Amino acid sequence: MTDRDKLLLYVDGNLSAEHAREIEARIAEDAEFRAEYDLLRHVQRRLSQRPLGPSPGLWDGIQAQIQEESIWNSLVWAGKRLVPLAAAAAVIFMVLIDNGSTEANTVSDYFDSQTEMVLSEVQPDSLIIYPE
Amino acid sequence: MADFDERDLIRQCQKGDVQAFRHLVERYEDRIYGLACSILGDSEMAQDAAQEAFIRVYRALGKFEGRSSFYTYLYRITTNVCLTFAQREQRRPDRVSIEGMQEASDMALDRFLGTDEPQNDIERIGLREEIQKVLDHLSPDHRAVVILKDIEDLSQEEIADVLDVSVGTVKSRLSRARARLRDLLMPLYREWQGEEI
Repeated sequence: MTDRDKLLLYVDGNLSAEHAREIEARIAEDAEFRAEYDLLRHVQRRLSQRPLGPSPGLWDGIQAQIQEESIWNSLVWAGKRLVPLAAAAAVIFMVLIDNGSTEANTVSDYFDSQTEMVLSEVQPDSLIIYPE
Repeated sequence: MADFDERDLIRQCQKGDVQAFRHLVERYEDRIYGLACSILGDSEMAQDAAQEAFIRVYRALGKFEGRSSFYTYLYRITTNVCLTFAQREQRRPDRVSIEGMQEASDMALDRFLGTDEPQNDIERIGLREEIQKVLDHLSPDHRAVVILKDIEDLSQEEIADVLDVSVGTVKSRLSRARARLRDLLMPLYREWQGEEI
């Protein structure tokens, strides 16, 4: 590593004490080297003077985007909850329809079986046949 | 409300208080916009990047545990957004080349070396532009390190945290950026010194 490279580290305090002393000695005795050091320090100083420009006002844009995202998130939230609810409602509806038809079958089966039972217990000769 | 403790504001934001977030934005927007301007060198793009950075912070604030300081966290997100914007800009085919701006920027570099501390608004604006012309000669990665070190006055450890790189990488980038600026400015500096003498 050359002294010029070390100088780049020196201005940021990234050189060991031993190397820093060497660089300081060269700055003191070498005018060209000192000019380079002065320039690097000048750049650091100048950059630190950078005036802060006022922001053009960011809140309105930020707020608009937050609100937009909030509406979208609400829709997503509602969607996530409505879909299972709708699915559950559909299942319940299907079960009810299915149960209704099962019940209807059961009722008609019940009457059929009762009729058959009654008819089977009746003796044929006990039947009164009314003339037409 | 303006004197509210930052941690209280963050806690309120985490509970969904948008007005608390507004106070955080107002507290930091000048610095964040300034940082974005320095990295991007374009006020319009800087406004978009700063806004995008705050939105990302708002979204992620629920996960912020306060292990690093809030401004380091904010700087990290802003710098990342700006570097992404800068990469996108570099890929644009209609981008004006730095070489094309060389002549105009030489005058700015000259003033960068010569002027004293600005005394009024016009001089302040002038200095801001001159500094920007100098920074424009660095790659976005090197520019970010120099800005965070010299303008924002962060330590090398904080810069490493912001950029999510090692301290060694920060030192190396700083050194290369300074070498670039030295090579760029040295001929003008010699002329300027000659005039001074």
